[in-house]
Amino acid sequence: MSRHDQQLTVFIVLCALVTLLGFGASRWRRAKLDHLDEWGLAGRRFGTVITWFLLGGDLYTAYTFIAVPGLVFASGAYGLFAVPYTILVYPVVFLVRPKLWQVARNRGYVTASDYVKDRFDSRFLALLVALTGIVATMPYIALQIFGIRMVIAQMGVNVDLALVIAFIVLAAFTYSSGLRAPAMIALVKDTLIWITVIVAVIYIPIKLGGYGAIFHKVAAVEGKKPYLTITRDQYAAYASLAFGSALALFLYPHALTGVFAAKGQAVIRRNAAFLPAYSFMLGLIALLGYMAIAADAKPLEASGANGAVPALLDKMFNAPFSGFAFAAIAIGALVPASVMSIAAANLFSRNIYREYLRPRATSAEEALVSKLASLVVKFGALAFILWAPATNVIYFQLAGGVWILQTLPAVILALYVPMLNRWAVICGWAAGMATGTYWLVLEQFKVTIHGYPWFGPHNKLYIALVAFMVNLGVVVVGSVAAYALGARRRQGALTDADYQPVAAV
Amino acid sequence: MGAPGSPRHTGRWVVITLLLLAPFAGLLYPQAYAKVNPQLSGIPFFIWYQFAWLIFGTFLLVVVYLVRGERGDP
Repeated sequence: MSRHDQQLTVFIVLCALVTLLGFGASRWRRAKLDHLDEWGLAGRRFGTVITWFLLGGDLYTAYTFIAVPGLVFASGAYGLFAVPYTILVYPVVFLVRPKLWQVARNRGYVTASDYVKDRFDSRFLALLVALTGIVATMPYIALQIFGIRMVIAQMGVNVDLALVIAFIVLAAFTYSSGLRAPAMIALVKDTLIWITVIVAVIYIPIKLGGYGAIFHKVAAVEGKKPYLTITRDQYAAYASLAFGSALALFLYPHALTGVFAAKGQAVIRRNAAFLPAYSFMLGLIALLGYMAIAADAKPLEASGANGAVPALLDKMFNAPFSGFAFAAIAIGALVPASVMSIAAANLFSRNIYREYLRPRATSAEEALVSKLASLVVKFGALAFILWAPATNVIYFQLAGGVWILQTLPAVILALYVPMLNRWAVICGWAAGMATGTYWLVLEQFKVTIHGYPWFGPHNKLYIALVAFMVNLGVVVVGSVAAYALGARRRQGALTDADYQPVAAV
Repeated sequence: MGAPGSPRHTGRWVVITLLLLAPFAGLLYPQAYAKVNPQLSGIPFFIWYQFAWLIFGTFLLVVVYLVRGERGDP
């Protein structure tokens, strides 16, 4: 058996196992899957451990396994901004998510948009939030397919055919089992990924002569790029990317789906305290970018820097274990792709179809529309990958962060500031989306940082954060003006009691 | 425990907020840690400093979780 055949055998066996599990998941805590609460949120019954695996499997995506080390490989220390990003995200979760979870539980919300509709008594604002969520999620799904493509290419297989097969499988088990499928597969994903990462960060440094030797070699190849630390003109970009990304992560529909599926506030707090274990893993994975430099791994030409990790694993490990590692990455991308397609589909069925197209849709019809929408979303992303140039995928995913952050006032600030005015939030959203997209266009969607004259000639800032400041400015000025003109604090259709835990019956 | 509004209650919330804000102070000013030396067995300062925060940040969150307990919202 050739090396590629051995890799492929291990890869296919593991993927087949996961497929069976995905279809079997519909029997797990069996319930009627023709209800959106069941198909899309698995009945909101996940406890601490399942939520830990699901959120870990859902939030740490192909971005973590492929793009972050790829950026370190290509750009050096600057790529490590993902480390502070992933540390800062959890204090944010700890502070705001339990409250959002509680109101969602009390009122039966499936999406953030459901909350916005009641809180602001505005179907229009809810529609804007739903559309932003869908538009920001699509390229994120495409990035997952991109990650799978990187490992398949490394095994020398017909990439397009393999991708189509992978996606038919993904679409089928998501359709039949809903959120139960990625939750169950996440257990396998996380096990495979942890084994791969732990073996990699012990075994590869031993072969390369230790971490000291790795950084020594990296320093030796350091040309124009600052590999070991960032330079003065990168400070502002580094900090603003970390901060802006941390604020944005839990606004993504797939992150909220994982949160809403939990069975209690305490589950979310415990997870905010224990999920950072995955952040440590992300840090270790980022170091694989350095190891790829030190080991002189050569990514495939078609893959570019994002092929660094597959090339490193292929170079350092024997055939069966590299096949194992490739399967870990591919399955690692399937879980978030599945949750993302469910989350985007829920936004469509609940906040667009039922709200605007068929207000009298039954729960069964709503769930069916959601299932069908999940197929459309996934195959849209697949088509994007097959026909758009590979490099564009990463750029559009970065743009998704710029857009999703503009929903923060409507979804998060609204929990704490009763004075927020509906029209001020709508105008703020429009201002943030317009300025953010404008700056992305100026950068031709190739980077997400932009230079702002008022911030000094050499400093660049994360576009999402600056656009968010514009958004926030409009929201504050508009709300104060509305208050001065006589609008009073209102909570829409919600009362204080809707935010309080309900005593167990 | 301290009822809402009591000094003990307020004090606990000040501590929790400070613990949650600490990582922001430690990480959002890269000027302070963007350097190669002192190294830790060959690992540049910039890298081991942030890894130390990965561990310390998790530790702080666990402390907050324990201090806070399973009580409802403030």
